[in-house]
Amino acid sequence: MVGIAIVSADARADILARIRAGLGMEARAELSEPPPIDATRTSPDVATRPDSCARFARELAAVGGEAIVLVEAGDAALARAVAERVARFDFRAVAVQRDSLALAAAAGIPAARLIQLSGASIDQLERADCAIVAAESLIADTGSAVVHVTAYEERLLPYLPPACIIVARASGVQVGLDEAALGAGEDERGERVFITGPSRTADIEKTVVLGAHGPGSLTVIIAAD
Amino acid sequence: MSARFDRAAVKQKFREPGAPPVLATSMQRSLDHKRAAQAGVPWEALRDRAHALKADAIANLDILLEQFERRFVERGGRVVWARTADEAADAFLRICQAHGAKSVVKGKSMVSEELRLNERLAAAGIDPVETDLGEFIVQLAGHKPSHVIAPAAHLSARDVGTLFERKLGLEFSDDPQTLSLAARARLRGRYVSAEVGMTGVNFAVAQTGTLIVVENEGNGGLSAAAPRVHVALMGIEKVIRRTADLATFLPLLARSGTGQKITTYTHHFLGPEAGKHQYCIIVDAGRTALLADPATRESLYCIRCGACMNVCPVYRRVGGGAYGSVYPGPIGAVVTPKMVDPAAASVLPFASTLCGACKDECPVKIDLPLQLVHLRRLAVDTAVAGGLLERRAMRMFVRAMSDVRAYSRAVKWLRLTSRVAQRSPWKPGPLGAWMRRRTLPAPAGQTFREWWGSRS
Repeated sequence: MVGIAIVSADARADILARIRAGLGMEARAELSEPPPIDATRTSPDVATRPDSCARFARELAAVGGEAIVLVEAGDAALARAVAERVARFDFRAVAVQRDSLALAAAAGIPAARLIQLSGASIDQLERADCAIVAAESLIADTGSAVVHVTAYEERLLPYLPPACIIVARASGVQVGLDEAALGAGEDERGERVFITGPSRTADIEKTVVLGAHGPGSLTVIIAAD
Repeated sequence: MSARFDRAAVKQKFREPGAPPVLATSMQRSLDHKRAAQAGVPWEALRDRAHALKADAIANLDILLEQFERRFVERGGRVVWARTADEAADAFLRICQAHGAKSVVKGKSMVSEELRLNERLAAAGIDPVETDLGEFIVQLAGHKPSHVIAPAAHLSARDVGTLFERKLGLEFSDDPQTLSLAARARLRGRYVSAEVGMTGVNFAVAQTGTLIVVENEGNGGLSAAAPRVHVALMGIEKVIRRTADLATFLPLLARSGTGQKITTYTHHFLGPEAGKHQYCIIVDAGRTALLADPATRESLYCIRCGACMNVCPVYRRVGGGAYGSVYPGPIGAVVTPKMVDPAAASVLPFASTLCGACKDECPVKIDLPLQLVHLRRLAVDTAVAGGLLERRAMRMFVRAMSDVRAYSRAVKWLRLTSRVAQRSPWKPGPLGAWMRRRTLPAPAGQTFREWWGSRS
């Protein structure tokens, strides 16, 4: 920690006092009862899992991404699908998240095409042309992949390289936001990000352009259980 | 501190609406996208729930902020409280100096505009780099953002092409794809070289001490992740009770802002990992004043989606720049007097037709027209608005409306003066400005009563 005096106790006390005065309340420690949550869902239909995979693929395609749902089970099939994709698009500098699923998925890529995420340097990552990250879960209703990046050098993976491959397991497909893991464990650090399609912008005349700052190409490969 | 709100300039801009046609087209496009995206969800039920959740969060704001602070600190972050925009900018500068920052990469943040952070950073010799495409464009043009989520909505693709040609030495193009990718290429190296990254905050969750930021471009993710220091700027009203509440807010915000089901990136910042510093600056800057008045308290429910601007007939006609404030449109008219400059109280609440479209569009059901009427009453009661002429006119109106003979005399006089006004080449004052762009309808040959009386 850098030792600088940036915490002004006065400002904190003043703001909290102003809030209490504004609300016409004394200092109190207890929250009032939360408003009741009704059963209204943001994703109207509760689909079964086989439908969820297809739904996920449709939603992701609608925002410019691509989902590949593997039929053959096992990590070997996943590694083959990833290696095939890397070869087809001729990715020469692939950076892989240090996560068991991501590493298993990258097992078929020739070592010469991999970038080692070494230590604190992120300079190497600038020349990566593809990232491989693992999804904790997928959200079918929105076409989102839930990715947790914990180490400093991994946090740029979903954003910096121009292409991103996200690997996931079919068992991790959730129906909608109502089921999604919105919480955060006390010991978790870094960032959990819901990624929904390739990066995009519509800042010029509301015209959609893909590949704004993040990847212009986003593929989710779903391993069968 | 110099006045932030130029009253005379703003009044002039409302008198002579100058928004380019591209603005209304873009706003209509946004609305169409929103309407299409609304169809798939129980929209009204979600709005009611969002309103109730925000009402609850604001009613418990002190406790939720303390809870958020405690959990955020437990995760390894540091919290700074700031009473005013200047205090917040000072704190930001001190953080930059403590970490030896030469440049700051900035994700999109409206609070940063309140702080005038770019000016403050530049004055301290630190290079502020706006990375959101719209913000990048307005920074390059030397403009202020004209819309809370589409900062460059007032510029056409041709305008941007000319700007890039002039300022960046690029070949002219009016293709949004070419222009967007040119900005991308320009900003790539800046993320890795910056010492400090800044983002705004969409939701701060008290339950977990986490920060939620939504965006589409990936610049927010890069700004937060690449530099060793991440500073998040948030207004006190951003705190919500639980993570489960996000299932209500995220779909509403994305649909209302850009017509998406969910934004491309929803970042949940969980606290700094090893080798990283994370700060959260919690800013009051007039928000507690909005809270203290029960009539304006609802304005703190705002999730900054911009839908009230997209639909507002006044905003679409005059453009965001005309409001002379960080926050334009109907919500800007409500919050600017307390959050930016009291001088706006006599002008902005009157920049509305009170048609109610903003209230219908608002995803958290803020009763904007009611607040605008309340602020008008306050302005008139404290005599900051309504000149001598207006007060005289109102007295005459009251007399005419309470006496039949006075009324018929007034009608005769009005018919005469409107005929004269129509022919007169001299068109002074606000009425003149109105008439230069419109044709005053000719008065009828006889009044309704005359016509009724003459029927056989």
